This record gives sequence, C-alpha cells and structure tokens, in this order.
Amino acid sequence: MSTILRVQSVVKYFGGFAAVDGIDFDVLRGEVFGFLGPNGAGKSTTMRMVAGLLRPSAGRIEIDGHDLADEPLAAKAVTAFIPDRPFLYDKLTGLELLRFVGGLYGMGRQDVSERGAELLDVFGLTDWADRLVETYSHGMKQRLAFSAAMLPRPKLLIVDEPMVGLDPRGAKLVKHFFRRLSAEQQLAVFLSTHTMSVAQEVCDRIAIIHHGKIVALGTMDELRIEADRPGSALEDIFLALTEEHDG
Amino acid sequence: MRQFVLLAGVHARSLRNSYRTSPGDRRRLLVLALLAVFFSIGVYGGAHWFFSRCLEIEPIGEIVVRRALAMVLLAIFSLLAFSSLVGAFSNLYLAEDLQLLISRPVGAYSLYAARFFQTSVLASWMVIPFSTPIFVAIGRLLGAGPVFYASLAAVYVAMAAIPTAIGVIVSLLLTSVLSARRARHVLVTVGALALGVLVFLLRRLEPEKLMNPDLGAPLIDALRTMQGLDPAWLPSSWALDALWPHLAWSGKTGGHPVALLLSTSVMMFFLGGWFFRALHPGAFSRAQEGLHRPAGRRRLGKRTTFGRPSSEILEYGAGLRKKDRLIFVRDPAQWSQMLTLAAIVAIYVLNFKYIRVIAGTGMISDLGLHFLNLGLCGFIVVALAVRFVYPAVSLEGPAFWLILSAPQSMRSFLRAKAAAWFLPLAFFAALLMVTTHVFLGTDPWLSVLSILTITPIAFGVVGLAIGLGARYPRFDADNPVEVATGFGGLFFMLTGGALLLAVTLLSIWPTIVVLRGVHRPDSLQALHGLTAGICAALILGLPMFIRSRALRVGARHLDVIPDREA
Repeated sequence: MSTILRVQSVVKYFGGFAAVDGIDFDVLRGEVFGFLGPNGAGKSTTMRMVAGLLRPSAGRIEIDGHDLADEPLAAKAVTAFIPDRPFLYDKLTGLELLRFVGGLYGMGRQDVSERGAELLDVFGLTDWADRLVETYSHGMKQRLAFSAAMLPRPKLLIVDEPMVGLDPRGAKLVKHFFRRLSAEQQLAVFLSTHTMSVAQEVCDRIAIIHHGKIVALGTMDELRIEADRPGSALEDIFLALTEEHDG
Repeated sequence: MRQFVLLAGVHARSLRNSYRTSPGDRRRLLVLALLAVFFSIGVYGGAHWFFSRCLEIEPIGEIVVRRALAMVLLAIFSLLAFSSLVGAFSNLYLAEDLQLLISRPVGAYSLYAARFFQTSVLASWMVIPFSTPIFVAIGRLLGAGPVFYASLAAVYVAMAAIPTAIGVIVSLLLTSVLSARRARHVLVTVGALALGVLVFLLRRLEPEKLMNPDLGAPLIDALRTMQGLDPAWLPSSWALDALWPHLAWSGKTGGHPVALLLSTSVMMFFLGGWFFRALHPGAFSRAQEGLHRPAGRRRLGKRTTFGRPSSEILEYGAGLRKKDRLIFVRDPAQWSQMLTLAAIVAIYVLNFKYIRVIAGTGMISDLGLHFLNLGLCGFIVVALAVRFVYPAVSLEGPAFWLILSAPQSMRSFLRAKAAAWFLPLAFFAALLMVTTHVFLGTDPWLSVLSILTITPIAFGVVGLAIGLGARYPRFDADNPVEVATGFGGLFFMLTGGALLLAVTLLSIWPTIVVLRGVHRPDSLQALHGLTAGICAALILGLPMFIRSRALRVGARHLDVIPDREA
C-alpha cells in the first residue's frame, strides 16, 4: 500500500505553547488510521492542520503527493473533512446540500444526483432528502455530513470524533462503512476518537498523541508490545502509555 | 465563476427556503415590507418638507440643499464603512460555514468574490429604504431627469463596493497581527468611538442653521462654511459631484465623477482580491487559533471563582445578574456599545443649546418643552433598551440549556432579567431628565413630575424588551447588534414607541393639575383631581400591564422551545 498522507516534523504553536510538537506519521491507502489522545493532547489541532484549516508553525504535510502548503487545492480535491461539530446549512434540504458540495468539487449534476441518491440510501436518509436540515435530528445531521463528505469520492477521509451523536445503529453503519470502503475502494480514513472500542474494532493502525508528541504508533499487537501489556484491550494500553509519559 | 455562483447563491437559497417553508417568516417579511413602505413614505414626506424649506432661503437655497445632500452622503458612506468593517470580519473569519468551505477545494478568488458580494449586500441593503426617499424628494423638488436616477444607481453600487473593499483590506491587515476575534473587538470599539465622533462633528455643523442662517453667523460666513467642506478624497464627495450636476443649473463639475466612482470600485475590488489571496490563508489560520485554542492554564484561577458554587451564585436572580455583569465586562462587543451610549447622551445634552433657542423664540412654552423633553428622553430609553435589554435573552446563546434545565420557571427567569435591567435604565433616564431640566431652568416641580413619569415608562419598556426578546430570541446571533436588528427588535421599537406616546399623553393632564395645585390652588375643582388621579393610575397601570403581558408571552414561547427541538 502506498502513502496517501505524510506528516513530517509538524509543529504548531499557540503563542508560546506547543500544541503539536514535532510529529511524524504516514497514513496508507486503504488503511483506517486511528488518532488517540487525552483532551488537549493535540488531536484536533493535527486534524485541522491536515484538513488545511490551520497552518503548521513548522513541518510539512503531503496529501496524495501534493504539498498542502504549495498546492492546497490539489490536496483538498482528494480530501474530505468531518469536524467534531460539522456545520450544515440549516435552511437547505439534504439534497440541496449535497448538490452544493458537489458543485464545490466541480461534479456534474447527473453525477451528484446519482451519487447523492446512493449515499442518502446508504445512510438511511432517502426519505428526508427534500426536508430542511434544521428538521433533522443530531444523528441524522451527522449521517448527512458523512454523505456530503463521501460525495466527491475522496481518497482520504479525515474524521474528528465520528461517533458523536450517533445511535448504536448509526455507529455500526459508520464502522461498517469505513471498513468496506477502505477494503473495496482503497479509501484511507484518518480518525480521532475517545471511544477505545471503536478504535480497536476498526483501525488498522493507531497513533497515541500526548502533550503534542506521538508516544506510540502501530497495530494493536505492536502497541501491546510497546506498553508491555500482552493481551490487553486498547483502553489499558492507552492508559498505561499516557500515564507513563505523565510521570 | 461556477464556484462564485454556488457560494453566493447558497445564502439566497437558504433565505428562499426559509420563507417558503415557514408561514411565520412569510408573515414577518410582509410586516417588514409594510413597515419599510410606511417608513419610506415618512422619510420622503420629511425630506420633501425640509428641502422645500431650504430652497425657500433666498438667495442660497440651492447651496443649502447641496450642503445637506453632502451631509447625507457622508453619513451614508460612514455608516457603510463601519458596518462593512464589522461585516468583513464576520464573513471572512468567523462565519460558521468557513470551515466547511476552506477544507474543500474552493479557489481563493471565488471565495473572495462571494464574501465580498455578501458583505456588500448585508452592509448596504438597509440604506436603500432609508435614503432613496431623500434622493427622490430632492430629485422631484429640483426636477431631476432619468440621468439623475441612473447616476444614483451607480452611486449606490460604488458606495456599497468601496467601503466593502476597505473593510476587507483593513480586516486582513489587522488579522495579520491579531486574531480575528480580538481584531474585531478592537475595531468595534474604535468604530463605535469613530461613529460617535462623526455624529458629534455633524452636530457641530449645526444643520438647524441651514433652516435659519440668521440664527448664527452672517451670510458670507455661512456661505464660506458651506462651500469649503467637501474633501476631494472622499468617495461621498465624488458621489455628490456625480449627482449634483443633474439637479441644479449651477452644478457643473470637472471630470467624470460617475466614472471615477465606478473605476475606483473596480480597482478596490481587485486590490481587495490581491490582499485576500496573499493574507487570508494565514489570517484565517490565526482566526482558528483564537477559536480553538486549547484551554489555557493562566485563566483557570479566574474561572474557578465563577464556577465555585457559592451561596451568592445559588441565589437565582443574583446569580443571573452576576453572570450577566461578568460577561458584559469581559465581552468587548458588549461594553464597547457604552461608547455609543455616551455619544447619544452627549449629542442629546448638546442639543439643548438648540432647544433653548427654540424656547427663547416663544414658539413653545415651558410645559411644551417638558413634554418634548419627556418624549425625547423616553425615545433614548427605548433606543437603549433595544440595544442592551432586548438582546439579554438571546445572549444566553448556546448556554441557554443551563437556564432551561434549572429548576426555575421561564417567568422567573424573565422577571429576574427585567429586574436586573430596570434600575440602571430608570436611574439613567431620571438622571437625563433632571440634567436637562437643570439646563432648561424649568420649574422644579416639573423635574419631580418628569421622574415620576419616566420611571413607569422605563419599567414598562424594560419588561417589553425582555418579553419580546424572549418571544423572538436569536440564540445563534454573534453579537447584540445582530439580535437587535431583527424583526423582533423592530417590533419592540414600535410597541415601545407606542407605550411612550401613550404615557406621555396620559401625563399631560395630571401635570397641568399638579402645577395648578402648586401655583394656583384656588382654580382646582374636585373633578380635576379625580380625572388627574385616573390618568396617574393609568400611567402606573399601563406599563405594568404591558410588562406583565410581554413577560407572559415571552415565557410561554421559551417554555415550548424544548418541545420544538425534541
């Protein structure tokens, strides 16, 4: 598998405070890559830098061979970002929102209609396509955000806290969706979560960030070795690794 | 181009959907349109009367009209410059949809053009119903032809575009140094101050002297003052040059001011685009830092004092008041409005110089002056209430769930809010009344009566503002100004004005009876006392009734919010 996202020596300062302190990692095509860390560890800041919303203070981010600083449009054309609290235009219908997003990526009307209908079906929103977003429940809005993100067939999906607001059925749908698309369409998913069971279940590799630095990176087995916790669940490994670095 | 159409069109589509799907929004639009029509007719009538009086001043009538037109254009340009600056910050850095758009492959120029268009429209659309009747009145009085109106359209385009470009460039330069939120706060403060200075300067020109030059300087001085005040570098002066030749026979100007206005607009648009492309990515990133900075450690000490469950905080009304006070002091978008308040008061008190002149001419009696003063002070109270009191419920914002989940009724919540605002506003109103009465040197009994009348007005107005603010809340609004400019704000101004008018009219008879009782007790009859007593009871009862109704309506609306969101 080749690399879709390469993060090299990235640093982000907020004033004198280093929120992200020289991190390096790659995300491969067709891989679900989990990004875990305690509150304030630098997860969201990293994701927002990869999504092009924040500029790194130093370092380089490369997406599909495009340097994000030099070729932002080319990099963003293959990326979709779902923040922890995605904004959706309340006064548009679900379908109108998809058409709008499709237009931003230069997709044709026919393509948007077909692909939109397919995604609304996958996420159980077909009956709601012509209703205003403001009438959707929180979970439905989250599923619509997923539909909008997947519409332009991105190669890299960046998701900050994907399970927030989803009921168990919605959560299962999304997990299944991640696994299926990464296997069938080589979609790379770069996700952050506080739900250890989700990360353990869907991620091929996991990075743990703490105080702005990556303290562990690898598959579940590699993390167990790193934490010296054979057979442990991710939660124990996470606590062991973050507490170790605290003190 | 396609992206520009998409980006510019998404808000239009949202607006259209809103009016299509919500009967309430449609009704509001209709009421707003009717109000705009009535307002425009009123402005037209006033402008027609004013300018026809100006034209009667021989031999300088046209010069006076030109000066007045220059003042109107300068006021429009200044207001647009101010609102474009504030709008540019919101649209370029703080708008909720920016995160969605910037993480997509959206070209810088498409985004710039769409945001420029949006800022321009939002900042300037209100100017059209306000100012068009003035231009139409002048045009009709001076027999203007179609070229005048075509030039007016060009002036509108330029007067919207140039301030927007200035707003965009200044905001980009400021956010290159500061975070967007901080820069906007600095700008709002400076802008409010500048607005006050502008109004003060306009007052210094003493426009009332346009109506009667004999009141002030000799004619030659007046002419000199009037002709030397158009700075050549101001777009409002170019706009005057673009319009005036089509109004008066003596209005020849050099060059082509319409071409100058439009070419400057285009040049400024492209200059803004260049700045946007160069500075926006970095500035937007910094703006995000302001919004999403991880919880700092240095402010925790202060926060814990607020978060600690002390007995003071647990007391509901006191807790609300303390919270509101802390937020007011810490949010520059709120306290900077105090500068506007200071400007209003300064202008009002300064205006007494002119009101004294009117009194001196014998046109109006001391009693008439008392009621004029009462009406004007009452209007200031209503204007202040729409700015500060009306948004009080909406400013709870996304934290309103704390109020909803508290074991208190919405009625208690609104009463606590109204109680918190009543004393400061009533004190302010009383102070204003007494100060102006001292200025006027009127009967001390009138000062006492004015306090007794303005206090119930303040009581009713505050209740009305809180009640209607709860009936038409805008929890998603970014600042109090945005809350106050909605339909509910307008409705409050109208109902508040009606309450003020009713109480002022009701106060006439009791005031006369009290003065007679003090100065000529023999002339009083029992019936006089009875009727005056009824009026006095109504002066107290009407504001109480209005307050109670408004709070009930507001509370009922807030009570069903959780049902609607469920």
